[in-house]
Amino acid sequence: MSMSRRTFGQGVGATMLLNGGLARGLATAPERLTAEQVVQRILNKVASEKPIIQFPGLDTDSFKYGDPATSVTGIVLTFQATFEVLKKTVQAKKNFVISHERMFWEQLDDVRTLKHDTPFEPADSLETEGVFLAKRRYCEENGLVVWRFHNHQHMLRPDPIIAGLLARLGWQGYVVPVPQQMIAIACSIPEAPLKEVARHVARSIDSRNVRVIGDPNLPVKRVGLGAHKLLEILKPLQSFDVVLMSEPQDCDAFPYLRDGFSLGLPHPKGLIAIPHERFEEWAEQDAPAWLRPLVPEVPIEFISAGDPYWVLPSKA
Amino acid sequence: MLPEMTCWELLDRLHWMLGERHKDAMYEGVITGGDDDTVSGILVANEPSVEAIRLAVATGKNCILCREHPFYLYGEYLSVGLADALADDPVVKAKRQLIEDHHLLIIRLAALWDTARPKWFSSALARELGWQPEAGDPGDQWTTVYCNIPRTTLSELANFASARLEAKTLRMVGDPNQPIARVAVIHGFAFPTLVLNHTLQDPVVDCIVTGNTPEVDHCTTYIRDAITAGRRISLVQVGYDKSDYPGAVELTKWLKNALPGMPIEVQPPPQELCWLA
Repeated sequence: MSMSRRTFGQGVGATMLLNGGLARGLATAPERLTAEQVVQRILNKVASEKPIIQFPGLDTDSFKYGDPATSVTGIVLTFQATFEVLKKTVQAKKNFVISHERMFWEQLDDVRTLKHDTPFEPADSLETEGVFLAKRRYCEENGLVVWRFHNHQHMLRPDPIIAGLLARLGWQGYVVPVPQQMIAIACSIPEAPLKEVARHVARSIDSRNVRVIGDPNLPVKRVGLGAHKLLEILKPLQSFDVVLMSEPQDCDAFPYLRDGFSLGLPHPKGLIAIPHERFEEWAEQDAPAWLRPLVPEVPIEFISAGDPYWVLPSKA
Repeated sequence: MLPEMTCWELLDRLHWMLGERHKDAMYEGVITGGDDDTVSGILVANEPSVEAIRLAVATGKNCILCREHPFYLYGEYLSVGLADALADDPVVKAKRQLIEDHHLLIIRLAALWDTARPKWFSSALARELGWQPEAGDPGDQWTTVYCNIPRTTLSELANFASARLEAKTLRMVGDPNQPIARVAVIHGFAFPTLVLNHTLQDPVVDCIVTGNTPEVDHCTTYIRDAITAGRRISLVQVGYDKSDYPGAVELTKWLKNALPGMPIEVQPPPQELCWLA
């Protein structure tokens, strides 16, 4: 189905599916599996584990491209529906991408709103720009459907994003509850210097793009977890030896740490910052095994979005 | 004999010379101190850090002109809810006390520095890298400057920038062997996607050199997608502090001419905070 620019981006929200749109889809197409049927099975599974009504901000999870009534030939799970992941999906002869992160570089994938991102730039939009159009055209020509599975995925217990990372780190046995924190668990690991812990993280996630702040010899025993902004890591920074986070912003978290060190305060002590994709992709790697019992009719595979960055070799 | 100048007179003079800063600038202007405070000397420090405060005090200056906010309020989406969360934070409390103990004026004018023309901070970064920024359209609102550079590769450019800026934690997107002859330089935080998109409207730009970009929003992923779409482009992130420091040095030189007799110095380059595991 070709979608007009105006209707594109509005998508078909997951909440609409829950309100009956999907029931009609199920009734009219029993012999084939559609993308919206797959989504409904996922949402039913999530709802069976935790009432959806208790989770705010579900508007992230909607169809980002394509007709939800499309027959699914195969499903790809990925961290982010980059253009490269879309191409690999077509090469794998699949047509439905379930992406944890946004497709068009904005929280709700509504490129029309990007003109409101900042007051400092001219009013404009990405609706007519080349990369957006090329990505969209590729989806159209190849009959792709893209749905975002973010907030609902985080609703699962245990949160597969955190569970996937901890499994990759081999820290499942070190988990301690910290109910007052945004991410309500931390890890109490065997004590080691910060440099050793950071190297373990780098090896585990297979990335050299691991930025560390703090004394390399800092003894680390309690590791907190955080998201991306200073607001989201304040409590763990004040509570633990080090915080493991993804996609930090140099302009808010880093100055805070610099000042904390200069003041000689007991906290913050240290930070290990890894790429967003390396923090969260392990859940998507595990997701086919979770999804196959729900959707046995079609092949399902994981495609890596990949570490976006490379870094220079270390110099002694 | 020092020129007698109050905080208000200093701000008035700067705006008279450089124009008004953007009306929507967030968390800017006089952050600590008052309009009537007399300025005894100026330390230019992009980040009004505790180190910068101590240096200002040690050198007898009571005013810090900065790009960043002393209490980490960058602006935009990053600062939503942050001021409230920091209200009882021990780092903020101790820093606030230090500022009050020394009656410091901290004036944040990032939008003014970025509104002034020619483009100050991006041009300074380009010159620090040995490149000559092209003269731009005076009405251009963007902070990007463009430079034709001797033909190189992404890998060579990254190594060159690392050595030149004494930066070890650069992060690159793109083919290390990609040929590069024209570079867009954007100091600081290249954000949102429209900034990057505008840069790609120059059809022969091969590489964007900036301080930092977000990853999945507004964003590094956009550049990755542009590469997959067939655009010959790459991204070099030299680090936020590293990208802004040359601008502070040039700004200080300008201030010394603009405010003769006023003790003015620039903070020494801050040490790179991060190291790679």
